[in-house]
Amino acid sequence: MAAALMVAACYARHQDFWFWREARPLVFGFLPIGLFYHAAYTVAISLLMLVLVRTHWPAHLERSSHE
Amino acid sequence: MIPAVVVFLYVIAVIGGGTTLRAVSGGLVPFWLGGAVVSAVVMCYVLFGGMRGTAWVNAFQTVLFLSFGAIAVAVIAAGMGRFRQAVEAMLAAPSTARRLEHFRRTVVLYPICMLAIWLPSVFLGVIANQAVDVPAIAAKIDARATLAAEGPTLPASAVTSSAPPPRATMSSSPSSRDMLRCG
Repeated sequence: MAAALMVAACYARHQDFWFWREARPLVFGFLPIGLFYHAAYTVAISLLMLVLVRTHWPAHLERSSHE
Repeated sequence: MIPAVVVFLYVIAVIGGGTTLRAVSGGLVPFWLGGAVVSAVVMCYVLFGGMRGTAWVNAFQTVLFLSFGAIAVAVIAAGMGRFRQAVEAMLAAPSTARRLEHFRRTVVLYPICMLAIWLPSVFLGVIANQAVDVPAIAAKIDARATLAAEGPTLPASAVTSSAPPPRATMSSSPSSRDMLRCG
């Protein structure tokens, strides 16, 4: 249930409507804030996948293929 | 970082082009010549086509890749018997999915790899979009603003011919409609 909520929250955060028409502030002095948001979002998704892989990996499929 | 990523992407394309041309010509076209031909073709459509031409070439290539990808799947499946039979044989093979564990790292790192590709690309697009101090781009922006504000009232000569329009601000450039048509 917690994993499903995390996935749903990440999906909702992807539908951003802020920073669409405003490039500033520039992160690190050159990166528009909207672009930085999605770069950070991608890193967060990778971390989410790490959590999902560690907690919800279908190991039973692997076991059944060994048997 | 951005030039480094772009250089790697294009080096891969040049290597692939050289390898492919050498293979399909049976060695008649050497690797270096194939790479040079691919580089020349890419430079031609980027230099002469501009950003819009490059985007159209990419769109065409995507359609081409997907079409030939679908054809390849059909041909390979036909060569293996029927597609359904090929899938069933794969599922029945004892080695299939035995190492499901290997996909763990792929699943986690896939977003990061995609980030390494799209972030420099989008950033380059953002930078290019801000390059308004190029005379041709500045003229186009002026022409677009003029057309938006006064398009319906512009004289026919300014819209249909390449003769200099009567407006002082546009005296050294083609008409607004021509500028937009060229872009």
